[in-house]
Amino acid sequence: MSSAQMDPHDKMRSRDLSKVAKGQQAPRPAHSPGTVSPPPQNETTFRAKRGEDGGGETDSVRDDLFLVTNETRHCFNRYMQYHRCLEGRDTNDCNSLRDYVRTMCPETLVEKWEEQRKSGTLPSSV
Amino acid sequence: MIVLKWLFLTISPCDAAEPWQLGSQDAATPIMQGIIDLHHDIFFFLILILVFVLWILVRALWHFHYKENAIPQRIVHGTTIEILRTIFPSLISMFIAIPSFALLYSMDEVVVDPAITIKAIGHQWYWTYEYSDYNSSDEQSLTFDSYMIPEEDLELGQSRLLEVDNRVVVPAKTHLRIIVTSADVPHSWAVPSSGVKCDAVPGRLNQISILVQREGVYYGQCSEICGTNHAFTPIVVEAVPRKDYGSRVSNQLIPQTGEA
Ligand SMILES: [Cu+2]
Repeated sequence: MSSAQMDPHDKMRSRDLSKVAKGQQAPRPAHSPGTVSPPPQNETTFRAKRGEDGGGETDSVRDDLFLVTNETRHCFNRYMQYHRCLEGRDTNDCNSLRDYVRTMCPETLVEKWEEQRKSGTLPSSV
Repeated sequence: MIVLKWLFLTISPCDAAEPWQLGSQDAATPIMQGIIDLHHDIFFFLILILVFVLWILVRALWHFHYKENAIPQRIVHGTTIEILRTIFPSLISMFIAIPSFALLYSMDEVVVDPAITIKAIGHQWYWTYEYSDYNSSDEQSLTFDSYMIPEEDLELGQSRLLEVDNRVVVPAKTHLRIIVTSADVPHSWAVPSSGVKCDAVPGRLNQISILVQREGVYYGQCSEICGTNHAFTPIVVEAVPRKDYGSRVSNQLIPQTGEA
């Protein structure tokens, strides 16, 4: 998530060209594209392909409770379902639920909840 | 020349704002097509009403000019006309409301199970995108930042204040779900050609579903005042053929970071 090492604000800040020429202002750092994390190994790992190979339990990230714009609860529900599933079961059984969480929730949010869960401050119990 | 220009415009669809543009950008999704059609439908009634009202106004001014009619006739009440001018406008508003609500609710609802989910996270002042639709083990999601390309770095033909370093690559003719949220202040993820403008609110996940009907590059901008560089937070969606999607996502994005 954290992009290039430079301050992103500094990257965007405008420069006065005449000041830069006189050395009164530092030139804008060279533009480098933002960071990109590793890609999927191949096309078949995309969920788009998954519908074709059958799938397990509920093969849909769609939830009839959440057909509306606000998906905040949907994400949290999936997260809780996943952890409920993890209780006393083999991790592999819950892989599809884990994928739903990954699909529905931004990574930072899941990281935050993981921390809260470990410290016991998650505002819901498994 | 103008004819040629118009011909040219109809051939190459307009997916980014152009100078002195008055109308919408060309539709890339059924939703945007619906919005444009609704706009045209309503404009039909709008012009009828405009002509009618102007006609009455001009007639009244003309016939009751103080030289023509120094002492106007004093009509204080007319039941028939009052009933008519109440019922007809309300009927017209109802006929406008029906297609308008139909469109509104069709935009809101996610009817088809989306094949791909992409997360757009607003930051001051760039967008982060997460592609997380893998089912292979524990690898991290594909995440990248999308910064505007500064003016000095633009190449010939690139749009100022619109081009970004990493575009959102999506498959065309596929149902997409885009989850929009923010990491700091409210932003808004908007791409006019796809008829989408979705607020990115911290702590809330908003979902929009789109179906891009043709391959192309679609430009949009952050549409919620979010700080000094609000104007420099563009959005670029690149729709590629579905069969090329996987390879484009995995190959296209990586070499870009390798160089520079
Ligand atoms: Cu913004």
